[in-house]
Amino acid sequence: MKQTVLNFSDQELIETLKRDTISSSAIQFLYRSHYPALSNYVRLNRGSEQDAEDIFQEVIVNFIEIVRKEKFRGEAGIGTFLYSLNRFTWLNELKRRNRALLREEVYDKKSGVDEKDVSQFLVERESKMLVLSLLEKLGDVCKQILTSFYYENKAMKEILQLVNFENEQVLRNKKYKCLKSLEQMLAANPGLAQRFKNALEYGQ
Amino acid sequence: MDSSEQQTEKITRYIDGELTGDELKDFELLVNSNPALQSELQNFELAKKAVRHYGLKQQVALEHAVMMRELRGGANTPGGSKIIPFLRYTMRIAAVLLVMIIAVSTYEFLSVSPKNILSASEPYALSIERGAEQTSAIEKAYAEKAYPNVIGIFEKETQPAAKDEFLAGASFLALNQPAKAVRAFEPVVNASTTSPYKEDAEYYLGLSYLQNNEPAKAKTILEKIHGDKDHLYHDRVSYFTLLKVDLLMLKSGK
Repeated sequence: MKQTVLNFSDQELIETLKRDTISSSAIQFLYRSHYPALSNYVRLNRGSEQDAEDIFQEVIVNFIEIVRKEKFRGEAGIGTFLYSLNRFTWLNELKRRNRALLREEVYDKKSGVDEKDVSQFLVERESKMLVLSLLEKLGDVCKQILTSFYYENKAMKEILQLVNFENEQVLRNKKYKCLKSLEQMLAANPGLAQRFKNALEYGQ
Repeated sequence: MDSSEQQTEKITRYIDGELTGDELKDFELLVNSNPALQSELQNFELAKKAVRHYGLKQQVALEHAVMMRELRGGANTPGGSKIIPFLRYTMRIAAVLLVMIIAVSTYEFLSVSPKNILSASEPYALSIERGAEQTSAIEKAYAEKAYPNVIGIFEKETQPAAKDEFLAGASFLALNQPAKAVRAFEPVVNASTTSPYKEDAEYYLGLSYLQNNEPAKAKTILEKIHGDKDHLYHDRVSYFTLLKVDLLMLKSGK
């Protein structure tokens, strides 16, 4: 079935991504506009189709968080910025995999953004993954309660309809126990917590 | 509940923005004078950020799955070639052929999509005179088409009235967030007590289902409106509207 497709100017897209609730249309617009070229870059530089997909997802998450932290200056345009994020993320991943003789074969000079400008956003990539693995340990119910409340901004009575609890007070108790568990895991890993905090700052 | 748990509860209430007045001031004073509490609070804030980061990753992953289906559906996606079972191709071709046959019969059918069904429907127009009570903040925001503000007011309501849920739903729909619109409209439609917004909510719930790629659910509710001559929106749901929804179901396989 055909879906309603929205087009955004750079400015409209930035404003949309800054809203409390992130619009699916905006994410889909990023995919339609940039996935073909950016995934092609990864594939042409020794990446698989799955690599291209994983890197693009990471790029989109980072881009949205950079925008929401007001760190995207917009001087180079969204397309150029995403290209640099994509390129830098993929090259870092290749380095992580200890691939020798790294060479870029195509599109080498397309980026208009200084590589150092982009690299400041992408330090501590692994710390994000480690913290997400801590969150996975909370279990499905905790994840659903916490993401519904803190990410989707749902009211407790809405969340009550999604999970099997007697009433809002029981749910509220569960929510703070879930958050407390996560807090304790972070408290037990102060180094990781600091790295994760730095990673989410996307540069000072 | 021991004092440690009470402190944890107070921290979560603080980071959720639920402390106010003297309670807030007292807590902030306590934090400023207690490094251990400061550290705990920072970890709670970080935990909240971790949840938001996780939520964003989950949302992008969901959109990724949707977009991969769409992008792989296009011709010659570089590297995107996956082995698709022959039967699946055959079924797709058959569905396309069926749509083409219908298209030859009628241009109306060819051009059908949620967009062109919805294009005949104006966003809900709020009547300020409705009811005897004074205009509320949410009504005022909606009348000014400040849809994000409407949603913001609605989300702060701990016990939203049917009117709040309906206006939030209409705002989500106007902002092209049909899944959230569905969640807002459904309580109004399914409420045990009938509200003045029930029939409005039924119609716009139907439109939300359409926009949310759920034509089967849309059809159920639109059929009800079409079958009820006294329904407020009876005139807007014609036999041809239902036919278009049928075609959408055929095209989408839902």
